[in-house]
Amino acid sequence: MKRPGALLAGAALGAAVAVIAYALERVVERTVFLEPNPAMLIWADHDPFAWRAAIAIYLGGAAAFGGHALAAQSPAAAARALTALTAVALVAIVVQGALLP
Amino acid sequence: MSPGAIATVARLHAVLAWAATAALLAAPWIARSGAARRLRRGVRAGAIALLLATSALGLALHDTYRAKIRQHLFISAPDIGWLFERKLHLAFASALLGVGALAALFWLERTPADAPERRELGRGAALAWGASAALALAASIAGAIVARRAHF
Repeated sequence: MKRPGALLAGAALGAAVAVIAYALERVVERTVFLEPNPAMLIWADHDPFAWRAAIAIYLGGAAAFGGHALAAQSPAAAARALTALTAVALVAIVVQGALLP
Repeated sequence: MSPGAIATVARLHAVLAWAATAALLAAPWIARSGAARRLRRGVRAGAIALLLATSALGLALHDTYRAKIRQHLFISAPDIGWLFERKLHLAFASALLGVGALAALFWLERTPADAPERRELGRGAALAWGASAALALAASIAGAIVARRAHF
């Protein structure tokens, strides 16, 4: 595959992985680390949403390299991975949002 | 930011969110209507630009929300507070899947017409775009519900 196509494939796959990472991070946050009650919390320096988003984008960026390599080697496999990862990302964020907001 | 400026940014955020949602929902119809390639690309890129501008404004308002609104919201109406948390998740996913969908559509344009992966790629791109539009719509509705209860 030509380089621009592989770069775009990496970006598309990385974006889907970032959403999956975000949903998993939130699940871990809600199940493993006990959060203070939001009604009692006046202010906290640590902003969980900003950190969650930043870590998810970082992991998505890392996955983009893998997506780029996959698309360069096998565009058909990368195209299949895009559909699968996007479907998983959609289900993950909806289930996480519904059950563990 | 002054309170007046924050209120203006919040209003702009809401307007851009609905504009981005409408553009995301309309783009597939425009693409299917046989519009020129340049117009199709412009509409898609414009929708994602609106989505990212909305996200940037939301991020700019986030600290003020945490400092002035979040606790009061959870005290007066915990359900609405949790709805806003859900809205954050949906908006984040919508923005990322939108960027991914745009990248996938540009990838599809660069793929030769006889390439075997074209069909699957088109399916993946359509799924990502549809997911982004649906999540944006859900986030916009959730935002409107929360805005009826609390505002900057």
